[in-house]
Amino acid sequence: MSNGRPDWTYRSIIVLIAAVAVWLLSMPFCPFIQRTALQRFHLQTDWFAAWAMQAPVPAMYSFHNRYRIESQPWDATFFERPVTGSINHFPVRLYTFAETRPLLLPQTNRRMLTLQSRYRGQTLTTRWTVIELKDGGYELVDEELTE
Amino acid sequence: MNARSRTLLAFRVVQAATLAALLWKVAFFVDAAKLYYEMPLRQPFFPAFFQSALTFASGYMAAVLGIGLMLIAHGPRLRQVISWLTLIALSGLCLHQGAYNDATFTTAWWTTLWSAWFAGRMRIDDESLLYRGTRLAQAILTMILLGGAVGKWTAEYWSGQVFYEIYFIERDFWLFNLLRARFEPDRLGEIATWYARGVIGVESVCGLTLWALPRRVAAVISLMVLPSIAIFSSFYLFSVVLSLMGLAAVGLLVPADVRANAKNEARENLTPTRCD
Repeated sequence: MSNGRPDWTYRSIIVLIAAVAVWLLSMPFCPFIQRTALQRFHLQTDWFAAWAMQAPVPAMYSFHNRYRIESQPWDATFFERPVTGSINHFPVRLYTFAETRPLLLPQTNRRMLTLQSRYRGQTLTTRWTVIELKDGGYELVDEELTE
Repeated sequence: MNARSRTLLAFRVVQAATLAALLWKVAFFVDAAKLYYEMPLRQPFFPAFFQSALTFASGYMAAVLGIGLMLIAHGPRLRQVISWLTLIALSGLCLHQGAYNDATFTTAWWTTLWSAWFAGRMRIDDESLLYRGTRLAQAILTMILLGGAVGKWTAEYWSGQVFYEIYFIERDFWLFNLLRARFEPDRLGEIATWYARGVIGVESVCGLTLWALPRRVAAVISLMVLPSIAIFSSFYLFSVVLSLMGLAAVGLLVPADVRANAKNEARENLTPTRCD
């Protein structure tokens, strides 16, 4: 309150911060929040709007995220070993973000990405396949393997 | 310096820091915009608007331009309108296929939300504004550090395994290059464990207590912790922490007498009024 008028914007921001803090502090104990957060990381949230609502929740360097990039099963040869590693957050960014998109999408011999994120007993694994489009560009198709 | 000058200075410090944050990786973002044009990626999860290279490029330019204008704008009403428009541009970037993962835009979003509120209250010229602005900034900083901490409260992070895999094995950065040159892999694993525990400890303590600390103490601690995140892991992370450093600096601009006045005002508001 200042100058006798309630400051609704200030109060709304405080409520938003408190809601995010409660959400974060509940995460270690609440399987629902853990699953929701992992699905957010893997872009597996049922509705885009529900995913978008989580955008203000800070999630830098969260969870143990691992990836494996390899040939699709019928294309695999003995010599093409999978490329594996760990990544700090939002692992689908390997394909979506500008940092690695130009390196990985054109790789015709490794077009399948498997991602696994783990957090306190919860695990989410997804698989992503790259399809080259005739009119230029690529399409990313995903499937959820386990939860 | 009078209250109005301090308030304006605080607003401009935050804008300068946020602008620096957005421009820290400007060359990368320009290349990214070109790449999203040249190598589009169709993905059913994202609406077409949030896959468009045009959305990314215009959103980034609007955010940079908006914060630049907020830095130099004179009219309070103009500052407020630009702040909200900039927040819309940053919201678009936080949801875009090619930018959602970059925490640069998440921290800039929170900083600009603070700026939009602050710009609106500057018109009212309340002496306690700077005090309340510091309190809100502390709450935002606490929540963001808490977000980083909670995601690391796992056995894999606590053991150092995650940081070992991400940083210690092959990341080309001064600290990890130095450690790799001096220590054997076994010893590196031990160092990674203590590195991880240090990060988790600092983020957890700050993410749980920063909001409750005295203003200047919180500001000084934040201004030590935030740059250290970038200095000891990746200089690119300055794009994430610079805007937060601007918010933290607001706490240094609150004069002692304003803090006392604001406390007295709060105490008076809590005291029941006698109706004789």
